Amino acid sequence: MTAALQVDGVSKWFGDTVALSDVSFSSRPGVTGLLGHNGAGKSTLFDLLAGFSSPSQGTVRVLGLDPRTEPLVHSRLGLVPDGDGLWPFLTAQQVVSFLARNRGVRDYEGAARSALRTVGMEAAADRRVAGYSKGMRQRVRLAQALVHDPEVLLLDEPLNGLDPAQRRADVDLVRRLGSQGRTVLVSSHILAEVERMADRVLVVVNGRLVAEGTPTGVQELLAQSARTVRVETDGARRLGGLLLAEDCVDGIELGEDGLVVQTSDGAQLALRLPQLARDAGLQLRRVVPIGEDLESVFTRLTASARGAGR
Amino acid sequence: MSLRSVLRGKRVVAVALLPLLIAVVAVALTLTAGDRDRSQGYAVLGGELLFLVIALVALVLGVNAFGDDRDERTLRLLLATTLPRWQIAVAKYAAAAGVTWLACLPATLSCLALATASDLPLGTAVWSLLLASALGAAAYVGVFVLLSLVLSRAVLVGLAYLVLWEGLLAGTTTAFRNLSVGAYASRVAAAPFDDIPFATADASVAVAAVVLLALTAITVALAGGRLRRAHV
Repeated sequence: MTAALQVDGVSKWFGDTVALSDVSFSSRPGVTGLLGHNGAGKSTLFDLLAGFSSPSQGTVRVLGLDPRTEPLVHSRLGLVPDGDGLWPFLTAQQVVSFLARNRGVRDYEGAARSALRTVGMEAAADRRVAGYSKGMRQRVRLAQALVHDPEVLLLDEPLNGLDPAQRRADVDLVRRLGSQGRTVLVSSHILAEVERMADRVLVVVNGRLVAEGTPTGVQELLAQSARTVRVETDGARRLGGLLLAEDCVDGIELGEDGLVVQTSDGAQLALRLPQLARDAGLQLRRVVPIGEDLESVFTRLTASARGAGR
Repeated sequence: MSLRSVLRGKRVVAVALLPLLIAVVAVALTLTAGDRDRSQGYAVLGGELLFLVIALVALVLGVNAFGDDRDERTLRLLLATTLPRWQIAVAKYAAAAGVTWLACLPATLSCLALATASDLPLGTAVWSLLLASALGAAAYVGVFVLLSLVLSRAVLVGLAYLVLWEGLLAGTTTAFRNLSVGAYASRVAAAPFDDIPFATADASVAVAAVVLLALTAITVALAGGRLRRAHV
């Protein structure tokens, strides 16, 4: 069976800037999260999948079709593009029904009402978009992606601009769409968001696909890769000496409150550190990974993607 | 949608003011001037100024046919439909060209009012001026829609083109006039005159009309092709 989204050896460059480098993956039904920091190449990948640009190298297929030359693919593909663009002089109902009609939906008015109800926008459906908040605009953009009941959904940062309650509702909606058997590719730069929505994660760093797997698998991969940990203890110097003998420790720095430990295997360190402290009769007050936001995780992963990117 | 997009806001009102100014002058001349002055007025307003105004209105509406969608980031939504891109380009073009012609219609009709008092054949004046304004609007909008898809500073380039080429160079020699959209439109408008009192392209009325139609078809086709290949 052909994958709904098939990306083979795709590179995309703009002049000297490499936006994507040799990216390959195929989708499967369910929600796939595309994780990457701003500028990692997520939106470029969405543009290629939506047919808004063509790859400099490689091939992109959506439902077996080239999205660049087959606009009919949009009757089966729903898209929330980057940004918050909507025609301000139209009502939400007009926006969504216009797009439904031009994607081949017969009862486009009814379909638009239903899609707007799904995203909780029925009450404001007949108001002009110009007066909407960013969150409302984002929900209308989600409604237009759903209005033609597509098999494939490409959602580029769909939770941007939503308040916490709306985020929760939309996370549930995305999960539901995936459980209905649709192929959903949803991007975010927030790890926790992707974890909640997706049952498979693709990690993009500097235009390269550097990790792929279940959210748990990707987390384990991250845990095993190099990291920096701050350890607060009552015997910093002694513990530092013990840690230096461990294979998983690359370096140690003594500070006022404790140690800063460089490790090549976070999982192994997490196992050995309490054992060493207990054997030495030391108390571990705090063990904190330093800079474990997505940005620093990506920085570490970039090591495996060295040579690519901008 | 394309039509609503063109008609929105204050822009269309602003661009309609310029043709209205021509209309006011033409009506004032019709009511107050003598026959000879009316004939001269018809030649100046209907033969030359009308097409300058059409060009300016076409510049504003043609460049913004896709400009608004770019600025408001709705172009991707528009392209995320099953419509072929050439069809989107044609729809945008048609809306801008139609509104340009309609916005300039008061000026066109007022110029015709001037013609009623002259010794020109009125029937010929009517069809030639209506045809010339329609063909001129069609060709200018085609040029400016294409410019907006090719260049990022289409307004500036378009304005420079109108001032330098259409305004200055086309007024100097026949060779330049034969490469001017306005000069061909003026030639169609000059159909009622035995002795043409204003500068036009050196061609018959039929050839001038064909040139404008061909330019329209070429620019719209190129705009469709450009949109198809565009990276948005």
